[in-house]
Amino acid sequence: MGEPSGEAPRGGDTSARAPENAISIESIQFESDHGLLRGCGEDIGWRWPGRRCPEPQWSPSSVVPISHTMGEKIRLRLALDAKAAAGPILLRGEGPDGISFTESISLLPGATSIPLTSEGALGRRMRKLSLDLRWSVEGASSIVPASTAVPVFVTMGPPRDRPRAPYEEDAVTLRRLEKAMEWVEPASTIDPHSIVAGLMRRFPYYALLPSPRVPPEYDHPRYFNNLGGAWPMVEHAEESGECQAIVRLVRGMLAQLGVPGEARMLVVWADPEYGGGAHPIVADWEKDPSAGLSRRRKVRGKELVAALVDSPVEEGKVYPPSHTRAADGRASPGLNRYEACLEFSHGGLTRYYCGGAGVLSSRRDILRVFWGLVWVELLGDDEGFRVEKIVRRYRGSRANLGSRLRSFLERWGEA
Amino acid sequence: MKWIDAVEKARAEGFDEIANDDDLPAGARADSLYWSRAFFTQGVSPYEPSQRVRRAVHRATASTPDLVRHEYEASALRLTVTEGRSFTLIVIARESLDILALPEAERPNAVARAAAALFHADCVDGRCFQVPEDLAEGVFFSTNPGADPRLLGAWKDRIDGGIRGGELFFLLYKRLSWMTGWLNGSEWLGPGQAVMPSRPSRRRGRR
Repeated sequence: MGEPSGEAPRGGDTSARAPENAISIESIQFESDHGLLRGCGEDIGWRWPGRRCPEPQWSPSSVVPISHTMGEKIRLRLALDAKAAAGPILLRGEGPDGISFTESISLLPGATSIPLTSEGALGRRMRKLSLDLRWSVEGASSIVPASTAVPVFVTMGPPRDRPRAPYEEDAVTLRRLEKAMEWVEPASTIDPHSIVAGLMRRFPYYALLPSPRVPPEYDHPRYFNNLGGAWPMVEHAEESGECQAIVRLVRGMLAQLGVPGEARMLVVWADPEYGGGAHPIVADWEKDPSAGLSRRRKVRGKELVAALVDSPVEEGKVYPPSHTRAADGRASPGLNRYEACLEFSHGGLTRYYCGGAGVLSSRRDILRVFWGLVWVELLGDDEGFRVEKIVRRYRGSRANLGSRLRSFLERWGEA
Repeated sequence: MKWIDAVEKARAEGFDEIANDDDLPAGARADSLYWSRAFFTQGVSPYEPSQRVRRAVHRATASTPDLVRHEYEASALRLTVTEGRSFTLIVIARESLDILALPEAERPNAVARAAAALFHADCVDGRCFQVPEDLAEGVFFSTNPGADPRLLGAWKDRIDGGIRGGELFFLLYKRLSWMTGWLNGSEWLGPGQAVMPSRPSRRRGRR
């Protein structure tokens, strides 16, 4: 990404000599800019904070992007320099999408500052817009430059200035805002649930082990680093990350764009000694990172552990360790402590995004990412496991009908 | 401790030295780097650029798993770090810390000092390790002996240690919090290892 600060401004030829009685635009200060962007014209990577982007946002020698709330009028202050007295004159600035400025002014020789408010408001759509304004005056010879251009990130609300997240992914920088907009704008939506769904489609699965294709300093798949936390994941989206890292990134993107709603990472499991494994047990991973199924019991001298199994198993059968590759390329059943999901709530609606399982509408549905809940005997450190008892099945024709009915009714009740 | 025994067996069977890190399969190297960064304090990881490390691998046999061994010196301790897919065993050479040569009352503190110098863990002092006062050959201790290593939510939830052959060792578990038990330790150095839980076909929830 080019660093916008310090770019030569687009628009009129600012090097051309102005006529003797021309009015010069010396600078444009956008007063309705959120004024929160950091990291313009400096290489801070994905980190926060960097320096606050400078003002004014436009001058003959530099341009600085702004962020602005959609649906609101643009307020700016134009610094003019008049060679001679003029007025009254009609100053006009014509921009894209019905954004225009008109003001009748009188000028004395020298510097003058004119506040302007756009006649129309920015559309209610998130996008990166080049605010190209064509300036003209009636009643004076000319105004230079004849046009100015400033990049505007149109957001749903103000980005977050002060981070709340431990790795500070939620605080705004120019680079982060630009990437968030790049990912969200094509969806052309301001429905927070649709925005989250769109972001989650970029991560069709969660990464469970470190990838050699991601630089080690980023700490894939956890993304616990001081280089922007989860933000570098956008450069390696195809390698995905842990659920918690994806939650942090999604939250960070929503915060850049002022999108309302709450995103949490939940871990969901069932316990054979709690309702026979029928009920989802839920914990907020950020409050309890060790949460999950940890049930053991001794039966006839055997130490058994409970596990959520991700593919079909049979009682009494011995399996190799989780995810062992067979000669035919298939993986052995995996034993799990929980399923990790992003829970997103907004407007009274809550949806769950679990690795590779699509969008789910109830916590009970989350258990169906597993085939079943089992008691197993772990056979040594590397020798696999024997399935002692299938406590409950969540999928397949013999999955518990009562659970499925309850799940259906829950969803029906929410709809 | 089956893994400690397996490391001893592997030593008897032999390790092959590797000239550079690229000789490690990419997945195993990424895994090793990841856990080294998680476990070790700054300057102690076997992947520190400033560190002179002898690295070797042992490929799984009928009685041993895949292993990677790093021999180097850090924090004035001569270390042999042997890791499998699910554990890392750190042995401190007797010539750099002869724990049994210390007066008995000083041994728990020496264990704590070594652990604090090596690991990121929140709890590495003598009380956390529940180091017995009569620390002697063959003693095994743990920060959390009641927790089953196969069900831990995080590696920091349990660190084990002990004295074997007169040398202090620590055993750390590469716990993947989402899973029960361990991945197949004999597949670690194989090419293209990946873990992808089986999932039901993609379903759409109602919006």
